[in-house]
Amino acid sequence: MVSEMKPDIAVLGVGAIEQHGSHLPIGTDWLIAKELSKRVAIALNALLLPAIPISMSECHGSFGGTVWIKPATLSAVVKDLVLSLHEQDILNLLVVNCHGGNFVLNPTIHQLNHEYPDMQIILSDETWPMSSNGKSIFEQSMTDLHAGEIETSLMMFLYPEFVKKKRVDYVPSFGREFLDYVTMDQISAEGVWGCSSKGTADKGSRAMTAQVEKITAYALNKFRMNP
Amino acid sequence: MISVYDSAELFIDSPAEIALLPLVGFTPSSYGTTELLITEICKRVTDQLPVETFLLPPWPYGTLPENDERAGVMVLHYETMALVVHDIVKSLFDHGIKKIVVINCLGSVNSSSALPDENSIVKTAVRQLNYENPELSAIWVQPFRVSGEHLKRLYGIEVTNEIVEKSILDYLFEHKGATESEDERAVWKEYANSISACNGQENEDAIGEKAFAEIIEAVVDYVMKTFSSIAMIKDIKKSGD
Repeated sequence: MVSEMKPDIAVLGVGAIEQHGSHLPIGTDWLIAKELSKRVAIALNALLLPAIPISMSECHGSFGGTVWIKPATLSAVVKDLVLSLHEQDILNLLVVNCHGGNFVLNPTIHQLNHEYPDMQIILSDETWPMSSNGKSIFEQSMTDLHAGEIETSLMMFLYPEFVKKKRVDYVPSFGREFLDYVTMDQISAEGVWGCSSKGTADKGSRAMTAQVEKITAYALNKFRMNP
Repeated sequence: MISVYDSAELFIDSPAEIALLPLVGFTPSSYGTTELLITEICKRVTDQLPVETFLLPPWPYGTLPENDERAGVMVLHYETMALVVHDIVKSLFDHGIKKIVVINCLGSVNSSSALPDENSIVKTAVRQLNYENPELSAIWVQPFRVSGEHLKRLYGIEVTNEIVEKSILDYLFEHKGATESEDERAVWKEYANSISACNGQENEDAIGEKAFAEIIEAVVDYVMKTFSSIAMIKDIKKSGD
């Protein structure tokens, strides 16, 4: 019972429902967010909130299976959840964002920390570790944005039954900032930005372990407490 | 059925005609079982609808009574809830899905009005969406509400939500408790502990099975008839223009 546990920290995962090429399920970001936030919450002995399943995916344009909410809506959802936590004296919130397009989270959390000076709300670094214990995990980093080596590896580790064999490798010739100007379907016909053929379950496993360690250490340092 | 475990390719090969968006309010003491019930109901409804249907995962946060001060209760303001429903339904419509069913939590077996229990903002959001997008047919459904008369015949006139939920969970637990994901098994185990603590109560999975079937049939029937009626009304209007 929450009233008996009296948690100090809450963990909120943020996922997305959007196309991920033809080899990964549209629920990829949400499935990863659920798993990552659960593992982090266990490590922190925190209250695990249900991961938000839908967020700012309008960047994927006309690809089927993509569902979204607007930036202001996502911001409002996070604000309301923070108010709920504040009202029951859960004053530390870790937001584990697993969709790179949720840029509104940063200013929202910045503002919330000002509005609730007795709370600490932090946003975990969503970039996946490129190495662990001195050994590199992924081969591609700067060119891997969506449904590439990283996400394919994570899903091969977590949900191999939903990963299809057919892979597409595609890296456009311009930078990520172009998604501010056009949508993914205009850049990549297959919806992939990266090298999905390089994904392996072993990379996914190592990345997940390293990410949980990284986020947990960051949270403990920021919240200045021990589990 | 198309779900979030499928790739986007499926939307090209078998475009969805209907989308189902389940909404669940989050309170830690009940969330696990409410989500399981709604998920199971939605899966079966999706399977039985006669057209290709896209089933979304449950949206986990809702608007609860303002005075609900139980620990762990997470609430959205009504304006936020309206925005959530608006944005999700609109994004589905923008992808060409013109029939959208919002499963507005479970509702009440004793409800008889057109006002949804607990969550009238969802009704408002759906209404506005239909006004703003004439080609869209968005409807809200509460499974216990549309099957209320069937459930009263099954259980008797004094039936409550709690009685129905428990018997359906008993039935589903018998059939699903050991087979699902680790997270779902944890919820089922917790539920099993809670029912075993109730001394002297019989396991009512037999009636639960019937109730579950009645609810699914009632929801499917309501959805198809409602969309059919809306289409007829809109056709009448068009021909009268």
